[in-house]
Amino acid sequence: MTEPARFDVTPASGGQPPMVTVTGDIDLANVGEFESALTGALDGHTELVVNLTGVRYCDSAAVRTLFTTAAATSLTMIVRPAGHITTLLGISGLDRVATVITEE
Amino acid sequence: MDEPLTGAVEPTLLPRGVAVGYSGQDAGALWHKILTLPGGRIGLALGRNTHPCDTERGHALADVLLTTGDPRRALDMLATGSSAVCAVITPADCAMRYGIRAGDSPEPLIAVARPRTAAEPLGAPHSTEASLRLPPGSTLLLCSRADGRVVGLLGEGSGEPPQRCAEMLTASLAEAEAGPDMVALYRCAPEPLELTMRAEPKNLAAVRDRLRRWLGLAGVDPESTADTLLAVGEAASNCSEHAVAGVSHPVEFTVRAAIDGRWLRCTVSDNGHWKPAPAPDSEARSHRGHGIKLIKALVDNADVTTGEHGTTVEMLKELRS
Repeated sequence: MTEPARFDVTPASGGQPPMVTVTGDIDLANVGEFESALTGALDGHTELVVNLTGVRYCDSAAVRTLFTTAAATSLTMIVRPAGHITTLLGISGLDRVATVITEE
Repeated sequence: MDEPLTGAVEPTLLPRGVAVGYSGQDAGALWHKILTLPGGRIGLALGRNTHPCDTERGHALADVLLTTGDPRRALDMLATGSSAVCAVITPADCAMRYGIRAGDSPEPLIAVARPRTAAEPLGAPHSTEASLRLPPGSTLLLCSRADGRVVGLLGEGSGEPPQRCAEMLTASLAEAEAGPDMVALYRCAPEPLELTMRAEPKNLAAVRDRLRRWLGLAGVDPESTADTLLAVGEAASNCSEHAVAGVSHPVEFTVRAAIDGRWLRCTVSDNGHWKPAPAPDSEARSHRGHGIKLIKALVDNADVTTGEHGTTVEMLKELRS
């Protein structure tokens, strides 16, 4: 059974932008929750970091939300070097409107 | 007290459905061959190194398997007294031929677990030509030691991914501490998967869970599994998103998966009506296009057919062999 995903918000501090750390699966069922976490974390800041290294599954639903976020703010995503997220970012073009950092 | 050593051949290098494991300290005591034969057949053989020339004889065995596909002629290449087992499987219908050489050392074992049946050892085949047809989802085991516990565990392991099954068996052999041993398994492709659910976002995780389990049972490698889950997930997500409210029947999608030799075929079809296509150049249109582009990047062939009764996405992916 799939465990519910977690969207943990680290507020901005000491010059570091706010960060949302995702663990688990993002799909159409919880993409609304993902969006709320991003909006909530952003809270008037001009930069946002989204850490996706703990994501097991995500598809176009998450990518569409990230596009919206990238249009509203300066977005940085942290992803694992191997795996599908890199494919998703390339095909969707999200890697052209946001900064992508790879980390294990 | 040292933990008994168990190990496995790197799973990503093996054909779909094959798993190998060993136990004990002396890795050189045993040999094994895993071959893809002409026509996509799989050749498996393992035995004990009891004679100095066994390595060369092992190469001769492999050559005979490659040229004749005959397990018993292959075993004839070994020195007298060497103990070994050999099997050739045709994945398309899971027909298999096998041979056993008892030799001087512990008797080896070949056994089968058919779904919903207790596992059983196979005796020496009655005739050279005889081949057994195994039902979908069966597990074939070659083991360097005829051990009753292993046969029992094979039955339990037949509901686990092949690699996990091999680990269960080698752990048991290691506990017995009777000496170095190894297992080679082949898991026949399971019955095709078919599930039908309401096209609602909350069902997408259940689809992934069921498909993940089915792919695991089939021994599909982790990378192909991840590719398939994403491609099918994307197609199913499209169904859930675009099914129109207000249609008189509940919109459902059906996910099917089947393995046919080296090919994995998945289809996602729905019985809904798609929203009218978004205007060209619209954001929605470009996002939907990304979905299909994504699917095509993950599988070897994808086709979308839309009719008045629904849409079907067919995906074909070649698996390792």
